[in-house]
Amino acid sequence: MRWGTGETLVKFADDYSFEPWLAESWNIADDNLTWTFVLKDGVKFSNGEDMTASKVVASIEKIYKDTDPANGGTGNPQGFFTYSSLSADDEANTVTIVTTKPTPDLPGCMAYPWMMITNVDESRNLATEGPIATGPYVIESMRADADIKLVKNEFYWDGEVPFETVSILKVQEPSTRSMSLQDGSADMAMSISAADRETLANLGDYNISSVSGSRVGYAHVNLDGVLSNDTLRHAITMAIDGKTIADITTNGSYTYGYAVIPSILDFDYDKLSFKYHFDEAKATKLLDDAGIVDTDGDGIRELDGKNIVLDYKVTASRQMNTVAEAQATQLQKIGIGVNVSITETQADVLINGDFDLAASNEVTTPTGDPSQFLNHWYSKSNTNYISYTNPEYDGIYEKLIIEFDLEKRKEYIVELQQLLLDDSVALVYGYYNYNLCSTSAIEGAYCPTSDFYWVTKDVKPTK
Amino acid sequence: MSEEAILEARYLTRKFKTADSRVLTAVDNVNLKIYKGKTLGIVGESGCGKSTLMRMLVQLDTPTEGQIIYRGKDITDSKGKSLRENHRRIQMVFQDPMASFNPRMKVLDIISEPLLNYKLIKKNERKNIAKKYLKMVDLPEEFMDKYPQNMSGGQRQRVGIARALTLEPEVILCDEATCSLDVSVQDHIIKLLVKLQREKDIAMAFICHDVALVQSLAHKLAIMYLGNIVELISGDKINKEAKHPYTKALIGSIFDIGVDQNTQIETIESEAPSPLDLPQGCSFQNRCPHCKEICTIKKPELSKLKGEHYVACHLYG
Amino acid sequence: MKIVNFAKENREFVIFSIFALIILLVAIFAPALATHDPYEAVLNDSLQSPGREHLLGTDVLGRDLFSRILYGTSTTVSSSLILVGIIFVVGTALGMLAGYFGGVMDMIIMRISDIMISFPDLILAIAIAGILGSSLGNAIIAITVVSWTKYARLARSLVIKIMQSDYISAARLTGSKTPHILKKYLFPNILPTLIVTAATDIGSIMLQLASLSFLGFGAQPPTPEWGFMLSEGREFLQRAPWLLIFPGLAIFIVVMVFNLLGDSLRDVLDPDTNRINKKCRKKVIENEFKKDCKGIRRNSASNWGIKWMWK
Repeated sequence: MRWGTGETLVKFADDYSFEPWLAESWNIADDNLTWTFVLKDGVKFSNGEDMTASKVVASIEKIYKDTDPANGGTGNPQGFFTYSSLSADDEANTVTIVTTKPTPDLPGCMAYPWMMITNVDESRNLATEGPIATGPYVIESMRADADIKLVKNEFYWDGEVPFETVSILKVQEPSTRSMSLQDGSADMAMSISAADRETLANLGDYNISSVSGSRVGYAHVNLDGVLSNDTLRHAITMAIDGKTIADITTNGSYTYGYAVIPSILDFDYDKLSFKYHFDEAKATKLLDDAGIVDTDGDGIRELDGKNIVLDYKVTASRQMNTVAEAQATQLQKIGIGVNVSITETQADVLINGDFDLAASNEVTTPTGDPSQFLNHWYSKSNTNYISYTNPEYDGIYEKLIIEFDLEKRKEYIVELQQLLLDDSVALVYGYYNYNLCSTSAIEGAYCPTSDFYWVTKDVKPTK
Repeated sequence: MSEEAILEARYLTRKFKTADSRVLTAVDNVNLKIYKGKTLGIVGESGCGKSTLMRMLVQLDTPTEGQIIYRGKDITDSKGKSLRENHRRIQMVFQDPMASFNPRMKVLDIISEPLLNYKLIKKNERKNIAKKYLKMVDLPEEFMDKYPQNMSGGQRQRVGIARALTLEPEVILCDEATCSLDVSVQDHIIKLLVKLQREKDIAMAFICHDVALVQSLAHKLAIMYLGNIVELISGDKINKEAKHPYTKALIGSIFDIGVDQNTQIETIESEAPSPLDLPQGCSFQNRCPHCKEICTIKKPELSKLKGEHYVACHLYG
Repeated sequence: MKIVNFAKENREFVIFSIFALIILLVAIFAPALATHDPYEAVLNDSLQSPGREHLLGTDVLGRDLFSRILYGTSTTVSSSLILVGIIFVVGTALGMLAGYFGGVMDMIIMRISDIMISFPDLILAIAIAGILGSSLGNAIIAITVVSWTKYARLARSLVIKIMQSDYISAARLTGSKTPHILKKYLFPNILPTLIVTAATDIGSIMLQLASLSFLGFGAQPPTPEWGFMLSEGREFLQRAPWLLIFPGLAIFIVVMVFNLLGDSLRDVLDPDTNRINKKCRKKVIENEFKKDCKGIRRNSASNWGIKWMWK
């Protein structure tokens, strides 16, 4: 969907509110389970066929079938919502979804890229040919680990398609991506490193679109281990100068923030109170007062007779390893030892609890609402990797997931964030800035906060 | 000469199994006697088994069958300490002196090592020992600091002889000790060996493929062909009284300066059979001008012809 | 006098030994030579270009690159030398056992060695480092496991060749016992070849260590290790190229010096005959040349030929 091949029923605006896309409007019945989506007229698939309500239902059914965990699928959309029935009314052009549980953010779920509407054709090999969908561009050829070629969708329903072909080049190295912009072999490139963005900015002839999105980088603080000590956790939080790290070390790739939910989202960041701002002296005093000192002169404080050396596991993506190393040097200044090790993937580390600190980088609002993300700290969840059990948190969380009133939801989310801040169980780096850079040869390329829409019909050649 | 032989080979046989389980008989039922103060020459072509025989006598190799008798005692199965003691008595001079010296050892060390091994001298006596034995082989003292690589072939061979002498053995076996040397140098070495034997009463066995050379040195000659001794005769009688067709051919191939230019040169036709594939009967049959039917059936045994002259040939009983 | 002669005859060896010595001294005295603490991160000084304050610039955490490279010398050189030492000892010992005793021991050792050889070095090293966990120590273990085979095979074949030689027979014949043979005959004759192999291997071992670290399986942050530093510097190719240039240069120089040292060591340790041959050859060629010239000069008809030759 990022490459403009397909579209969803609902779209995200930059403030994460919902906009109509393939669906014109939607409403929910009083039972809080039955949703009716009114589809737009005149939408065509890339093979010329009309998009009907039946086809939309078929598309949703296929996605759920393909990802059904019972069949070994990833269970991805099922994690967001499940339906007890789907029905199509081709005459009225509506689709009715009855959810199994009250799902307040169903429109958001329908905006999630996985819910891209396709014209189901069982004979089609999706891996090599791509789906038949409604977007401005159609996949012509797709080779694993190589370029993807898109061509103009002749039947596009929403206006002129600006380019005849679009080639997607897969380039692993960020420096290479930046250099391909500079030598003209690419018109548009994503995720350019901060250092290279500076280079491009200095060269002048490039558009750099950077936005603080809903992605947060943070470290899980494992309460199963030496970090079960409250004083230690608070001291550590106070020893980190997150702003310097975000601004200078990552060169602005992160926007500094201390709450787990990005400040740009409408969840009352300003209302939160943070007791553990960066203050090295205070951190030192806190530890000294608690008797956590260095008795053998090796520069590292001891707790219960053992040197405090934290096992900090990170991956090398999105500069998290650099952040971790910078944090390590700051912690070393107050006498806390840190062992940073770089892993290939964090999955095993997190599931096995094999860490004191483990970096993670996640989109907090894939469906426009962070309740799924906040599951990490719910004691009955299977994504709680840090053995955090707070009955107060659990109580509020359980109320949140069934609440439909948006104002009340906001309140709950603010309360949950406050609890996390008070307990110092998540060491937040900041909010990752998405970026999308383009040469002066094209215009209209910009990076949305949701990071879902890159090649759109609005990206045109410069006149 | 009815003394006891100091070293004797009785029915000595050495067989090798090849990769495709055929049997190579390198030494076949050899009976030899070596006497104190006398030299036994062993003559034969390349590959006739002489070196194998010698290695068994010096106990670097174990025979498949047969015995080795030293001073009347059977030493064939000696191991460990007694084997080491035997080495003191029975020594060898190797064919290729370059290969028989450790390239990292100086002459001083080469000569003194055997005595040090048996703890017969102390470390500070090495130089004197080296001087003594270098003198014995007519080499200057300065040679003790040289490496074997930096000498001529003849000098190396002398060092080899010196090494063999240090343990004052009773028997010295020389495996083609002169074959890689110039003719003039060969002569010197032979004279040296004769002198040493006379002075020390050493029993010697001398392998050579050159009959003429061996004649000047050996009291007795054993002619060997494909693992068998075919004739045993005194050195001074061989030219006139050689009986075995092979021996006669060997003698006939000696070219002397004074040879009659008109003499017919007798050559042996055809080639020796492969030792893996020996024919039944006499191994010389396909090359012998006097081959009879019995030669292809029964192998001739080494039997006494007259006095100390033995022949293995059906022509003579 | 002897040393001067030696130096004259083995000029290359002496020159490269001096370079290697300099590198070793830098490795040992890195703390004294470094201008900053290589671990000290001044976050605000991130990515400074080379200048007065920081000779070779700083990395993204504000650490002085010059100091890190100096300390990296210690890390790299000591790890490599330890590594080469271990595989040399282990490989040679196993090879000698296999060659001397033969039989079952030979078979077991050689089969294991065959299995090791059939894997591509780096891949196996990566697998082992992956299982044991990434660290410099484990990278050393991984490379050891993969590399001992070369020495084992070499030692074994040398032992077998020597044991069959006449001088071993002669040694036994003159009463040498087995320990004496091992000490005086076996060792001195196989060591030179093996030492030369080890010396020439130092360079490639360094590269293997650096490669593993570069890929993330070796040295972990914040260890100053050149391969790892290269990996860290990758994303700053345009913004801070010094982060790639200087560690890369360091690897290049050190590996080259040790490679050339190993090569020249081979020339030194060759048996004397070889050295004599080289000098003789030179003399012979010169003499032949003079003879040719004399011959041509006599033939006046081709006087112009001389001019062509002397050109």
